[in-house]
Amino acid sequence: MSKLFSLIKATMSEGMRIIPYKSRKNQSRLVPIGLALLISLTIFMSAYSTTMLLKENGTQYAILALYVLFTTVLTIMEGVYKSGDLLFNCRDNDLLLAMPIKKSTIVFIRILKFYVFEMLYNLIFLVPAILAYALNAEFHPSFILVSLIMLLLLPAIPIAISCIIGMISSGISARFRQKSALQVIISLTSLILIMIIIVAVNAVSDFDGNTMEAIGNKTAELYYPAGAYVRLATDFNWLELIKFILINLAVIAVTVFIIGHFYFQIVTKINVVKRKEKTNLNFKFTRLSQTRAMVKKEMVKYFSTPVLLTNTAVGLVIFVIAIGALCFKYDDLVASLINEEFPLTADEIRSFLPSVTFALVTFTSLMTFITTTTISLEGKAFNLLKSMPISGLKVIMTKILASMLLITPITALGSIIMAIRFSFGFLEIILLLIGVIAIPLVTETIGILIDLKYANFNAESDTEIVKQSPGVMISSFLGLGSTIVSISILFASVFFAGQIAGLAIMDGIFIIIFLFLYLALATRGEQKYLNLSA
Amino acid sequence: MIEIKNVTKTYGSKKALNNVSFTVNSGEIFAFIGHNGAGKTTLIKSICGIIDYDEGEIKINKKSIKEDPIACKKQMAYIPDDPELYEDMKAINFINFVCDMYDTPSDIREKNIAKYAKMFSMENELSSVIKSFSHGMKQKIALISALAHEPKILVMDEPFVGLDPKAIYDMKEVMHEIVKNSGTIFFSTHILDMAEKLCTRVAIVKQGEIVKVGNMKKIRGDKSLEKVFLELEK
Repeated sequence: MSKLFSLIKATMSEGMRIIPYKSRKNQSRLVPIGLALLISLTIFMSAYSTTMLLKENGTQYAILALYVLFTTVLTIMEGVYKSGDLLFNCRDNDLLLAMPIKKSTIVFIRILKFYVFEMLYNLIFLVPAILAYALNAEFHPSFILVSLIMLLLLPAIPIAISCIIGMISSGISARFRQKSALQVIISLTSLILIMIIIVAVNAVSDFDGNTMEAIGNKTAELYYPAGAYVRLATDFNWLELIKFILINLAVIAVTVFIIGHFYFQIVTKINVVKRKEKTNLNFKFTRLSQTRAMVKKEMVKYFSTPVLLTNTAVGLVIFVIAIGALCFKYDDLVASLINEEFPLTADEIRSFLPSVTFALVTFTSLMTFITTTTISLEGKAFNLLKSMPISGLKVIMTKILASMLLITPITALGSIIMAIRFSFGFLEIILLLIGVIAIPLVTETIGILIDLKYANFNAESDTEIVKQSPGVMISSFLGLGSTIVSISILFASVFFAGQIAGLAIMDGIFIIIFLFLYLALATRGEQKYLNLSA
Repeated sequence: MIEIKNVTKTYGSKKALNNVSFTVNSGEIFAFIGHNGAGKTTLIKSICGIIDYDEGEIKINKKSIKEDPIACKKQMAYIPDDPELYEDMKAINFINFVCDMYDTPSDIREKNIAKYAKMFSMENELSSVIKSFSHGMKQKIALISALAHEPKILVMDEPFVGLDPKAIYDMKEVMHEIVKNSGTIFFSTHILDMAEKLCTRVAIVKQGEIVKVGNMKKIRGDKSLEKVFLELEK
């Protein structure tokens, strides 16, 4: 038992630093905790107002089912493309496999680490919903015990599903030479399938009356943990609670057993990289400038890190789908909006399309922080880079440039297609294109500043850096918050000052923010870079 | 030439380097020896501008690494103890990337890559991705990339770890060739026999302080370097 505890402590102290082996005074945790609290507060306000609505029908319990559904979907979507790497592609695989411990124990600690992270992440959403319910319903003291157990056990089923999908994805991709590309395809396909299932369930469900209540009731009916929580919150029963605990523990135990069975087989194959022997030394020695060479290096890293690619491609894929829908299904979309008594006429909707496109660009750019991990992903090679005759600021700027080259061609092309399809004015196109450059410049500069502050060169895997680091959490929260704020400011400016002025105001805001950020980067950012070493 | 004057580096309350001073002249192979945690890697990283030091001065061919880091780094090549390179790159692309960073002309890199790849028996492996290599092969790629841009100063942290006997022999030949052309070689090692046979001068570090520095004959006297080192460690 003490062996297992030591193993858990060692694993948790790495990367996520849930249990620190020694104090790290320089690692400020105030920012991520503060941001998490801010998001929780926003969630609480939203959950509270929904619960007030549900209270009119005496169905406050539906809020619990709704948030269980939300966190479940979130955990599965997050977990699908990171579980494979978190389970099988860790740097300490060789070390642990050489130790006298069972393979299922290794799988257990891998899943436990993933579980603890998702559980903490779910707290941000579930605790506000529980509070909103508690403030609006009369509850038995047992509700507190039930809620604590729920917070602990709710991630079990979504994590089990994502781990099994991750195992299948890794198992298949490990058999091929192009492992990374295949893993990206499998992950994205799984994500799209999950989205289709959600939309399909939504479409076939016959909701009537209050939509929130209907979704809540349907969730409680279809998804066992949500139903169990609602039943235990409204009518406590020891047997039901014990059944719930046992089912969740059994799910995890079965998952550990299944993955443990295939673990060694997958790990053995996943680390085999076939070498190409080539006797011909006639290589092309194209001399590149430092900037071009650095950008090329960043691109290689980006396209060979499946989890990074999948993580940052989601926003861009949504952008492409949205632009496609607007271009090809515009008339149907407008007709359905007008049928639902949308407060604008068809002509008015069309006149606001440049702002809608700008909002889509804003959403995509603010939700796509590529640079948040690019320093950490250097790993130990960061020392080698620092020994080279290239300034810190240049390294940082090339990382921003590489990220811009991944985002802006797609958003620019989408904006141009929209401009041609809907005949935007010249000034609108120019303002839109300024936004296409200015917004990702802001996000990518913020991203790199965050990574300079929270750089981690000792993660167990790239996935840990891309999905489970404090920097990524901060950028996710920041992206979510700033998207809501920016789009609100955009539409407020457009309604009050007109479209051209509204777009110009947004461009102005983003350019000014970028200039301030650049100043911070050139002074404190570069200093921070110089102080870092792997 | 590397000039180190009164360099001090502190991690929290622990002094990793305490008032370290010595000079490595052009045309010299200089070994830096000490037990684990003595401060060898800290000094090497300070020389290469990877970490900052608290006090003192480090000059590379008369230029301060603090004041003009780019000019200093242009003359140097660093080979780390743990060759974690850009694993997703092909070996040839990695070497080319390093040459791009040092602005090495195409003809020079072409000539050197062919020469050193052949020397270290890596010519058939240059098209492979680095992550498919063993530790020793990665070390060889790190060496080829460092030598391809013809540095005047070679700074190496435990350079012989993981290399096969032929590669060690070839590496020693390369080191002699560099110093013959007035280059400078500074490296840390635990292999005392190697330091004894290869080096012109040596410095012994203990708990961040230099306890002996000078030419091999002066330090060794009638004893072996191993004996001198072990006596100092007591």
